[in-house]
Parts: sequence; C-alpha cells; structure tokens
Amino acid sequence: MVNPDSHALVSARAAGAYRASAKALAEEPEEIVRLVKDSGLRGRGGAGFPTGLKWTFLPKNRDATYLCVNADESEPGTFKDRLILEKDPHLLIEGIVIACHAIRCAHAYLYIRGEFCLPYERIRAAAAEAYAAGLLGPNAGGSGQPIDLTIHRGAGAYICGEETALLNSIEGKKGQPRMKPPFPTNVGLFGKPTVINNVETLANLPFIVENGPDAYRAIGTEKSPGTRLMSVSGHIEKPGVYEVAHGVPMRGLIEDLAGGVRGGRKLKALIPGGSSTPVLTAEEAYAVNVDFESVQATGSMLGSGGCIVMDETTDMVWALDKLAHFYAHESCGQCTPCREGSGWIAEIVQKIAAGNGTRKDLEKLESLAAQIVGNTICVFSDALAMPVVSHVTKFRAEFEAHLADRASSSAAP
Amino acid sequence: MAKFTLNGVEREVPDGINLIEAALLFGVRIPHYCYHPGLSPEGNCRMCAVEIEGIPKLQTACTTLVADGMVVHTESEKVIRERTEVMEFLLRNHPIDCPICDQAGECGLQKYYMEHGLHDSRVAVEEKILKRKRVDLGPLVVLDSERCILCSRCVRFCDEIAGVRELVLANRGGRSEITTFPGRTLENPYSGNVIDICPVGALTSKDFRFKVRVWFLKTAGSICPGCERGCNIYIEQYQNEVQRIRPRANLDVNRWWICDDGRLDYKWINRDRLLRAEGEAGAHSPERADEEAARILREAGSVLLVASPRSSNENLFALKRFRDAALPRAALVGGSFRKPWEGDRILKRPDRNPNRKGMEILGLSGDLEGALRKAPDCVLVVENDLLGDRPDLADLLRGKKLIALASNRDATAEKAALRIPVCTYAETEGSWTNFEGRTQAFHPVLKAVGESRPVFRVLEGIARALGASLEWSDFGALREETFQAAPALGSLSPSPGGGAHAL
Repeated sequence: MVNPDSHALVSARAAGAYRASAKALAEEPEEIVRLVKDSGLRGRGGAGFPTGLKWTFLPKNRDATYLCVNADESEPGTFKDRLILEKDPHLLIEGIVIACHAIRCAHAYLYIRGEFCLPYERIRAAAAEAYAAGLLGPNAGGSGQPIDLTIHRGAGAYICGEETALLNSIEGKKGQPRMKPPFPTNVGLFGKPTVINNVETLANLPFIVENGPDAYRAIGTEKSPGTRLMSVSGHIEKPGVYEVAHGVPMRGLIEDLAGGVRGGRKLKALIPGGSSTPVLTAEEAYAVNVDFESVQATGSMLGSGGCIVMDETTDMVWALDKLAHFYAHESCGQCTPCREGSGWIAEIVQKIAAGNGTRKDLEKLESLAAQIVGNTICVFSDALAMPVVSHVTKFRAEFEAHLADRASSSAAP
Repeated sequence: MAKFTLNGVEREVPDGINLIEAALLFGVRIPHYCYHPGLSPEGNCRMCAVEIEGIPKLQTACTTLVADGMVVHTESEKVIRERTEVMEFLLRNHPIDCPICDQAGECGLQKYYMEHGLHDSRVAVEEKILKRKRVDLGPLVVLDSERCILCSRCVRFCDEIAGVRELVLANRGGRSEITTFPGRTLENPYSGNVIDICPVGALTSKDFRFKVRVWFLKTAGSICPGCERGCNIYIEQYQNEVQRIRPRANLDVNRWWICDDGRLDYKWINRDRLLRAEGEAGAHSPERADEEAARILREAGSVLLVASPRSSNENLFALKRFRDAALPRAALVGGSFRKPWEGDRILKRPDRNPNRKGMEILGLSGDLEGALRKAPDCVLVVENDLLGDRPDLADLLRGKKLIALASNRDATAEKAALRIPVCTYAETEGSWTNFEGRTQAFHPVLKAVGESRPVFRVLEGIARALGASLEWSDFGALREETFQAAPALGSLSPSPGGGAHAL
C-alpha cells in the first residue's frame, strides 16, 4: 500500500532520506563527481548524456556555479518526474543537495512546468520543510556551506524544457533556445557556469552515494546502468509509471507489468521514449529491451521513457495529426525552418487526415521533414521531423489509403 | 591572425571575426538576414549556414568565429540546397505584395530569391497565414506583420543600440509577431533605424511610404546638417526633390545609425525655397542682385558680415577672402542663435550646427550679439537665420540695411532689403568639421533650385561689382586654397564602411 504521506519529510526520513546527502557533504566534491562518473549514470531527460562527465565540463576556476533542475516535463507521453515531485519530493531535494555539493553550487533553481499544480505544491512544501530542518539554507545539512533552492514556475511552453530556453525563461527572457557554443557549463544562467539536470537524474544520486557505483552498475546493462522510470500510456490496461531495471524486455513491460494492450487487442505501434522519438512497429517494439542501446539500434531512442501504446484500431494518420499539431503549437518561432515548417507540416497532415490530401502532399510532407532537420538552433525541429518520417515510412499504406487521389485523380494543384 | 581555408583557398584574417565578415574580406558574400554587423548575432534566419569540414551539421556563419585551420565551404551542394530550402520557408507565408510594397527594389527576399531561390512555389495563396497589416508602431514606423520574416533585427536594435525595451517578439511558432510591449510605442529617438535594417517590407517609413519607387531615386553620399556629430548619410532625390535620408555606415562617426531628427531633417530643402533674388523694388536677375548688394554695401557707413556655423568650410573661407579683397573695413563675425537641444550618449550632440568647429578653426567665432549691438548700418548675413532663431533681434536690426544670402524664405530673408538665393548643402560640394575635428565632405544630389548659386559664387559676383578681384576656376580650387590656409582642418576624412551590410 502506498503511503499517502510519502511526500512529507517525516515519512521520507523514516525511509532513509538525507542519509546519503549527509554522507556526501562529508566528502570532497571531487569524490562525489568521481562516484557519479564511475556509476555511469546517464541523463534521464532524453539525450542520455553521462551526468558525471557533464559535471566535469565546468571550468576549473569559476566564481559561481548554478544547478538548474529541469522539472519542465512536457514531452507527450512522459509523466515520471511528476510522480517524483508528487510522491517523493525529498528524494529530489536530497539529489539536489548532493549535486550542489559535487559541483560547488550554492544556489540551485528548480524550473517546474507551469501546468504542474500538485507537484508544485508538494515540492514547495518539501523545500520549506527542508529549509526548516536546516537541510537547505545557509548551513545546508550542517556542512557549513550554503545551498539555496529557488523554485521557478514555467508558463506553459514545451520549449522551456530545452536547457538553454529554460535558462532564458528563469532570467525573465522569452523562452527560446540559445546558440551553442557557448555551452551552459561555460556560460549558463546569468552568464555563469551552469549544470542542468533532469529530476529523475538527480533522484538517482542518493542511491549512488549511499551504495557506491558498483552497486548501481549491478543493476541495468553496461551502457545503461541503473533503473528507469517508464511512463506507459495509451491503449494499455494499466497505464502508469513503472520502475524497471535497464535491459528488461519491452514486451515484459507492456504485457506483464502494464497488463497488456487494452481489451486483449493487438499492438500496432509503440512510441518508446516520448513523442519525439521515432515510432516503432509492433514487431520492433517487442524485439527491443528497455535500454538506450537496444532502442537506438532500431533507429529510435529511449529518450525520456514515455511509452505510448497504440493498438490495432489506431489510425496512424490521426495519431501523427495530433503530434504534428502539438509541435506546430510549441515551436518557439525563432528559426526559419522550424517556425515555418512545423505549421506547414501540421497543415498537410491535417489535410491528409481529413481525406483531402494528394500524393503530392505526401511527397511534400516527406521533403519538408527532411528540410527542417539539423538546421536550427535546437533539436526541436528534429523532434518534430522524426515522428513524421517514422510514421510515414513505417505506416505508408495507411497514409496512402487516406489520399483523395488514390483511385481517381481529382486533385487540384 | 588566423589561417583558414575558404572555398579551397587558404586565407589569413584577423582573429575574432565571424565567418560572414571573414569571407567578405575576399569578396565572398554569404547571404544573411538576421545578422547585422552592428547587432549581436542571433543565428535564427539560417540563411548564412555554411559547411565546415569535420562538423556534420551546417553552421551559421554569423555565430561562428573563424579559427586556425578551419576549412569552410560557402558554395557546396549542401549549402546551396539549404539556402534554397530556407528561402522556400521564408516565402511560405509571405504575401504577394511586391507591386504595392515599399521595399520592392531593395528587398532582401527579392534579392535572395533571385540569387538563391528560384524554386517553384508549393503553396497555394489561400493557404498562407494571414497576419496584421498596417500596424501603427510609433511616430515613424508602420508594421506589416505578414511581410515580416522575424529576423529580430529591430528588437535587438531597440534593446542594444537605442537602449529601450519597446519592441518584442510575441507569440510562438507560426504565430510569432513583432509588436510593441503593451502600452508602449516605438518612439525612441532612433526608431527610424529599424526601417533601414529591416531586410524586408515589414517595417516601413510613414514619412516615405508610397512616395516613390526606390529604383527612381538618385543617391549621393552626404553629411547630416542636424548637429555637430556629422553623421554620414545618403540623400535620395526624385525629380529634384529630396525623398528620404538614410544613414551611411561610418564606423568612426555614426556606425550604421542616425537619429530620427536627422532622418527628417530634409523637408526644408524642398519647401519655401528662395528662387530669385528680390529687393525692395522687386525681383532681380543674379547679376542685378550682385550689383544691388554692392551698392548697398558701398553706401553703408559700417558693415557687419555674419558667418554661419552651418556654412561649409569652403564658403566660410570664401567669405573671409571676400572681406579681405572687397570690404577690408567690414567686421566679420560668425555665430548662431540656434537653440541647442539635449544631446544623448548615442549620437546627438547638444550643438545643432554642423560646422561650429570649422568656423572656429577658420577664426570666425566671436561675440555675434555684441557685434550686432554695435549697430552697423548694413548687415550681410550668409546662411544664417538670425531672426528665426532669435525673433527679439528684430528690434536691434530695425532701420539697418539687411542683405541675406539664403536658401529659404526664412524670417531673416523675409526681413532683408535684399535676399539672394543660394544653394543648400544638398546642391553643392562642401565640407564640415565635426566636434571632434573630423572634416568630412558632402556631395550634391540636387540640381540648383531656381536661380540659386553656391555662396562662394555669389560672393565672387558681389566682389566683382565692388571692383575687387575674387575668382576661383572651380570648387576644387577653392577647396584647395581653404585647406592650405587652414591646416588645422586636416584632410578630408575617409568613410570606413560598416562590414557585412549586404541588406
């Protein structure tokens, strides 16, 4: 039975919270960085970048360092960070304390998605408890060093989950990505060296500090150590967040843990890592394991672990229409190809979904997707192009069946 | 210095410049919209993407600093395809406005479509997104949102150069629009510059729109007469009337900008011009006017010649020579009663005369008011609206013979017993020396209006009528003599351009 008060400090303490952070604060920061590097922990925000390695990119001589916690979880199909914020916010705060000590940061910013109401209340209350208990504040955990936490609420923009747009948003600017280089580890928040880590990434730190890198590596695979929170949604009997060890078969996650496709229907397609990752066919989905390398081998990505399950009744054109609409709505509008291309793509998909599309439109759709990839400031355009390309190539027959000129040619140019 | 390879040729360039500027040093123009050498690079239009060996993705040249050993291709197949694709995206929602758009003929979209686009449209006109047209942003500027390519140059200009937060990019994605912040207008004293730097027809000038097609304009490089900064400008005319003024880049003086007052400081050139010499007995031919002036000067017991800090160095020098050759007993004092305005830290200087420094160097400054109070019988005023600037002087000059060499029917000319038309700075060669002592030349763009002549030619004529010899074969001879006589004027300053400024 889940403890309804799991978010409270007293429950968290009873479960062992803040033991690891106390241990970490007694160590040299470099030692913590080494632990995290050795653990092989990879970022859970989507890109899977090695966390310890990212920390080592900070310049040696720096007058200030910021940690930004990315809690802007907005990727369609992903809702794992929300769970941590709601059910175990102290696990996150403990991770923040460890990370701050490791990178010598005195002030962390937590950027939380604007639509998160309960998660916001919970993390705010938890931070207040942590301050009251002296775990945060001028003498964090009795270490003699300050660790402050500022919680910043977003205002409903998917793009603010992109790390540099997140920095702009905290600074009070328009949430749009910055050019890289310079990378945030050199020039980040308020122009200072900054590390941006995902909520789930930080939530892994207490275990690593407490049990050591070897214990962490004992779970999961060589290239994807540790466990992973998988958000499972869509046509599934038991939607929810599942913690699985990296490397378990996807089939097991879908069929056993999550109770299988709803109503005993057949699986048609599965998006493995949030809406921007290429869709997998049922065969591909059942052949992969839940780890970075295995999903990557199919040309898709484990991304943020957002599994969207689609059964045999799904109209794939309809599904892409929903996704394309989302991306058109969320493009920040900064770069020409993405700003113009996202809306154009959404229009064409809509046209095809409504049965008014032509063969020419389908060709245009594919060429536009190819045109927007790789020539923008951030990877949003790739995130839009990949689902388009994968939907159209893997389910081409469905798209062609929607075309107005599939039998008779009545197409206007 | 950095050695890099540009399209197969090894080149050496100064450190720390971006690839657009580096390529330009060798005549290689990399197309761009959002980049402007006077603003921070943004990298959003994607037009300047180039291929750098060893980097899989194309890189924006505007945000990439040249580095030792870099191998850059600006014309590879990949780059050319990318440009065409970006052009297609930029034109996707662009209205078919060219026939009614003021930017036509100097439009970045037209230019690059011809150079890098030439694709067939894949958009039906009715599919284009409609946005606001004719948005009144402020006193000088109108926005047509449909034409905007969202390069954000104007936003960055306001933030970085004018130092005000007036413009912002609102909304997201395809609904993005330039707009003013709620309750604000685009009214900073430099707002007109956003018209020039807008690469398309989105920001147009209320003052210039619909006046004339730009391909009919004739242009000359000139200097702004508005204050002692001496900003470099282009004057553009059609049918011998000034139509607009634009800044001319000069990194040492005004960079790429001019203030709004300077931009609008031309209407007087087209208006209320004195076309013929007029005396108390009616109009005169130029020759008669010179004789009439000579007569008045001869009959006067005491004469004061008034020089102006708005005259060119050459005309001031000619006035000095006129006094020495024809009227050695006359007093000669220069000055202006033009009210100073508030200067700022950007370009505007308090003193609103373009050549006070030159006048000082030529030794013509003095106590003008004191000289007028000495009550000379006759005052000859050259290019100086004393009464317009100080109406109370009318009492002082009552009963004096006033001769005005003036381009316009200003208050002084109207009160004069004899007014002789002279050319404005837009119709003649000349030079002004700015507050830093930088002497800059301006060039004529208009033909002389009516029977107006250059000041020095009128002075020659009056001297002739007075029986003195004062003669320059052409303007060049006068200029040479002026600069020899006053070495402190230095030599004419060149106008260093302003970097990649293709649009």
